[in-house]
Amino acid sequence: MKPLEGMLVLDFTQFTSGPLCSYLMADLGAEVVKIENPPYGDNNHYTSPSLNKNTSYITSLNHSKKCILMNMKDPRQTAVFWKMVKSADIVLDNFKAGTLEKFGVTWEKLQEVNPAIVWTSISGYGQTGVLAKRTAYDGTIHGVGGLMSVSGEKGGRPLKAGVSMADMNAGFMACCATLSAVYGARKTGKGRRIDLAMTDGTYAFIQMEVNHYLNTGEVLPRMGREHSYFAPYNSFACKDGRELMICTRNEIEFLSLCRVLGLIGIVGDPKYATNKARVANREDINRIVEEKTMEWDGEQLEKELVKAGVPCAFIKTIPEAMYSEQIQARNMLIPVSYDDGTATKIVGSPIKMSHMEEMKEAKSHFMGQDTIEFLSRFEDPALVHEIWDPVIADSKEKWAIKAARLK
Amino acid sequence: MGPLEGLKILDLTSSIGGAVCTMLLSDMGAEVIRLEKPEGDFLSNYGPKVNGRSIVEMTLNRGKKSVFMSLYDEQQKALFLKMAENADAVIADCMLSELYALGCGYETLKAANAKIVLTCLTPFGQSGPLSGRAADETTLQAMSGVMSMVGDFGGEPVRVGTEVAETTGAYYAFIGTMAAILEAEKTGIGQVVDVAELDAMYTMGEAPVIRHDMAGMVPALCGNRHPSTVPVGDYTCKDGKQLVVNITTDEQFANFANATESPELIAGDLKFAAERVNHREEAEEMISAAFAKFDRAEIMKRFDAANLPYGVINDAASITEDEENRGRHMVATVTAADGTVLKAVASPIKMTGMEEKTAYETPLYGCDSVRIAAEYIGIDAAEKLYANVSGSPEGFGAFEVQ
Repeated sequence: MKPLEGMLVLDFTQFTSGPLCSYLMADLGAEVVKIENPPYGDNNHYTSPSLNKNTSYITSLNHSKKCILMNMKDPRQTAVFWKMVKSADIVLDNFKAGTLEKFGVTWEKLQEVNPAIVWTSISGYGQTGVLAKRTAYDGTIHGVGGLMSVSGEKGGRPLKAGVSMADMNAGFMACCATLSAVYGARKTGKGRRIDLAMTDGTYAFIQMEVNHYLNTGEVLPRMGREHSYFAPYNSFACKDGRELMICTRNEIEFLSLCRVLGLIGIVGDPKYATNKARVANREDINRIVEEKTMEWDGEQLEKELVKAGVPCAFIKTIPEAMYSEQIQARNMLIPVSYDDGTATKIVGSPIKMSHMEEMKEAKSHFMGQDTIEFLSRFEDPALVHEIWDPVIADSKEKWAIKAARLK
Repeated sequence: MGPLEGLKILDLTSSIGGAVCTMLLSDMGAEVIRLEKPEGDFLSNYGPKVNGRSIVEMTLNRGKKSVFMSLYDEQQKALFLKMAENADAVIADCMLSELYALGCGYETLKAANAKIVLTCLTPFGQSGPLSGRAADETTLQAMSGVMSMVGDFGGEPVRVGTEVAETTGAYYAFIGTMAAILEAEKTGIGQVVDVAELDAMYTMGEAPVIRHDMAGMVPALCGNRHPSTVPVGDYTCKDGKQLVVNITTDEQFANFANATESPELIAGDLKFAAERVNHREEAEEMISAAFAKFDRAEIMKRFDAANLPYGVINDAASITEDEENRGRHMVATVTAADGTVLKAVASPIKMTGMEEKTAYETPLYGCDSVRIAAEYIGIDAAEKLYANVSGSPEGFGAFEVQ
């Protein structure tokens, strides 16, 4: 049995942050219903690459979900929505503030229909305030939220964290908050309205770097592969040209490194005796360590350092990580498929639980695929067909035209 | 009142990920009791110190309580097992076998409390080829493949300068713990939750992983650009100032072309998202030229009018100023029992029925030991138990005086 079985999530989210939040719940057994606006739905349906016109973004971020079409401007369709609300635990959105309210979905009305319901909204700047209506994406929040400023070459310009980290962080935080609110709602019978601003969320994500500034007045510089607090902590070249990340954070790890490299001779030297001293003499200790690592074959050095308990690793590419023994052993790369036979791979779930069978494969659904079946649970199937058959047909047609440009 | 009010969490962690996980639980209203070694641990010696104590440790432990716990000591272990009787979860960051060897394994905890959840957050998890190996934030970033994507054109990969693996590991540990607690409410039975920080980092690479499998794409270092969307990233305005943008839809791109008086951008195929990616060099040149037509303030005005997203690149100082100016209540004071006052980023989660907390307390070493132990074994036994236990932060590994 999956732990969140029986939980119903009405998911209006699109792009990355919201869909991540809800797929985390879907992977744990919640019934997540992705509600898309006909005819075009989530904009990620039109971003390459794709397989049989199923895009990578939709496939990964919306796996394990049911997909329905619903035009919130049509009172016949929203009538069914309100029936769904009665049985739902969670409503999720990442629209601009005020969007759902335009369609009559207000916190007051939701509570009236289902007092225990939890409504979580992810937005760029929050539901209130002068910037509430400003659109935000990962690319912009990455900058505004301070995340760009923490990475870069030494003395270099700010660099993005490689993936949509501001979006993903918001998704994680929203999931944590939402599950907490559901726990509380089950205890007290009263739900909660949750407002997560991506700017606040990103600020909290880099909290250790911000807390350093708040308490010392110093904005930590960008350090390339190094760390302001520690030395030696860098990548070091080996005899065979490979670069090995070696990250010592304390005396035990540093002494273990010295033992492996044959550097016991410097241990008494006040310049290197403590982490503080080594940080002050960073260039020198880096040079001393690299003189030694250059005598080693990379794989051999890694083996010895692992035995000695010194944190170290080669910088893997994405394909190297994907095809590693480790990712396979942890079931962290799993097959995903559609009903049309489209098959590819996605990253699995890191949450391994003793009572939950590990997720070894997943399914992704087409836009609107589950509309009739799901809505027929709440409304007379004949009426569902009458209202939605034309909506589904129209959406399929328009989607096909727009998706024709996909690679 | 936080939604997790009434939940009791026993915190055996000493890592950053563990501290972040239990801090999030505390922020949501749970009672978190940090069970710490009197001789200090990894966290208590991490980074710069104030009044002899780690800033990182004090700020991440806000809202928690602290009880000294040496599980090697039979009497203290007996207290721990008594505490487990009415705890909802134990959060640890060690191998299950270590807990078992100490006589505090899951079976023992379950015997004390059938509903208890045991969550272990470790670098590589309880099983697998790398299980038990030493790790660090950056080595985990490196192993996941995500670090290979952070870097400038023609440059080398650099680390993400914040605790990504630790923090995302903490999120998964939180989510797994709450899922197990929700299930235990129904079934009356708890379970073990095993989260690996490397697995959490693999998830951060979900997009490039599927792009590689679907289309053989291998990420190349691209500075602040995006592999599937143009324009994304930082562009230089006429006055030399940077603006960060993320223009995804064709509609937005058309608005952008109008806003920058650049009809040439949508005259041809570049008006389609896919074509902008296919002819990236040409597109970037024309887009950069559009930004160079106006000063940043002017572009921001035009973007606002066109409802296009944008941002500036903030650092820790400027984002603090920005958050404060907008009244977000995101900076909290954290006061320790010895009077040390620090500042820390507050919880970003705004929730009805829960106050926006901007004043916290943080425990000093074991300051709640006697008081909390007394709840289980009476005041006399508690005082006797802790009579000879005192802590100092200089123990584990640091050997340095600040």
